[in-house]
Amino acid sequence: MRTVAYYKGCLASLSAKELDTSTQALAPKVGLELVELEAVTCCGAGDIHEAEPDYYLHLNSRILRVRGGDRNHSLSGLTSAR
Amino acid sequence: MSMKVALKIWRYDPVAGERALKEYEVDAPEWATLLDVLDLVKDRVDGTLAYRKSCRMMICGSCGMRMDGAAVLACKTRMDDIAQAGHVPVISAMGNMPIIKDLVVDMEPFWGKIRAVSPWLEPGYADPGEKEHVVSQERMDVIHKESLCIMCGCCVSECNSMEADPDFLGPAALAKGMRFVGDARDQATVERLQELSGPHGIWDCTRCYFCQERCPKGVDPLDAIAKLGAEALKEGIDSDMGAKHAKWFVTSAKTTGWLRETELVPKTQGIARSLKEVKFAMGLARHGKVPPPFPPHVAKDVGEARALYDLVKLQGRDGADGIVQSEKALSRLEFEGEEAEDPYGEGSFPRPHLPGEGPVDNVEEEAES
Repeated sequence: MRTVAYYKGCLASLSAKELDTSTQALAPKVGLELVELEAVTCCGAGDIHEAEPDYYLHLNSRILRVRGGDRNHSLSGLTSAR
Repeated sequence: MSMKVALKIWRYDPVAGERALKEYEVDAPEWATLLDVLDLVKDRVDGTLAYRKSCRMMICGSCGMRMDGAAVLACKTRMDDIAQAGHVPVISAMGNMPIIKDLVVDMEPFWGKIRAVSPWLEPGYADPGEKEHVVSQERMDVIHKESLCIMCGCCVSECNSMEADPDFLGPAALAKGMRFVGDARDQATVERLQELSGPHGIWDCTRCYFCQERCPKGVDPLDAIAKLGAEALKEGIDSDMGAKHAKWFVTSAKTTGWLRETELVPKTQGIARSLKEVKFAMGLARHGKVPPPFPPHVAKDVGEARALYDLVKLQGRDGADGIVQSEKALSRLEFEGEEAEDPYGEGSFPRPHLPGEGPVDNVEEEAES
C-alpha cells in the first residue's frame, strides 16, 4: 500500500460527492492508501485564477505546503516579488 | 541516414465533396519534419495534396494542422521518433474552421475575430511628437507572451468553447485583446475590457486548457484570458454572470475557506433567475448534496486563508500581475527549488560557451586546468 495525500476539494465534498465515493472505493484496489489533507481550503478552480490571480497563487501554494507536511516552510520562495 | 515515414492523411476534394483517409510512405532524411514529409509526398507521390507553408521555421504560422487529433505546426514537428516507433500518425486539417481542400482551412472566421478586438494601439494622440515612449520591462512582462503569437490558428482549432458557440471570440483573439489591454501606452483599456467582457467574450471560456497545451509558441492563451478577467474585475467590470461566479469563489475562500455552493447560484444569476433552479436544488438536497445550515462548513485554520488575502492585497499585485507572479513562481520551482537543478544540467539546455571552448559539459574543468 502506497500512502498518498488526498485533496478532496469543494465539489467532491458536496455537490459531486460521487467522485469522492468512487475514489475512496477504488484507491485500495490499486494499492493506494489515501490520507485526506486537513486544514486545506478551496483551490479556486479556474475562478479565482481569473478573478484574483495572486490570491490563487497564494492559496494553492498553501495547499501544497500542507501536502508537504511542513507547515512552517516559508511561502516566500514562491510568492515574493522578483 | 534516411528513414521510412508513413502518414495517413485525411484528404478532402471540394469538387467531388469527398473525404478519404489515404496512407502514404516515403523515404525521408532523419531530420525531416512533418512539413518536409508532406513536401516529399507532394513531390514524389501525389502532387494534388494541398497544405499551406511558407517560412519552414516556426515564425510565419502557415502550416497549422492536426496530427493524431491535436494541432501542431508541421514545421516544428520532427518525425524521427514517430517513424522509429513504427507509428503511422493521422494528419488532418485544423478544427473549428471550414476545410477548403485537404489540409487547407478557411481562416476567415479566425481573422474576423482578430479584427473584432481592434488589434492596434490606441495611444490617445494623433501625433507622437519627438519624445520616445519607453515601456519598462515590468510592464512588458504582462504582455510578453501574448506578443509571441504568430496567428497560426492552432489554439482556435482546439477550442472546445468555440465548438459549442462559433461566435465565441476564442483564444487567439482574446490573447490579442490582452496584448493591447496590458500595453502601458494604450488609452482604451476600459473600453476594451467592457467590450471583451460582453457576450461570447472572456467569461465564455470553459478553461479546458487545450489552447494553452497546444499553442506552438508558448503564448498561453488561457492565461491571457485569465489576465483579462482579472483586469476587468480590477476595473469593476463585473456585470457578466461569469464574472459574478468568479467573484463568489474569492468571497468564499476568504470567508469560510470552502466554496459556498448554496449561495453560488443566486450570487451568479440573481435571486429572480435562480428561483428557476429551485427544483434542481431540491433534487440536490434529496441526495444529501446541500450542506446543513448549521454548523457552517468552515475550513480548519481558515484564518490562514484570510490572512493570505490580506497579504495579497498589501503586495499590490492586482490583476494580470498575479499571473506574471505565478510564472515567476513556477520558474523558481523549476530552477531554484530546494533540490535546485542546474538549468544547464544533463538533458536540459545546451550550456552557453565561447568560440574555442566548444559545446562541452566540462567547461569549468577546462577553465581550471
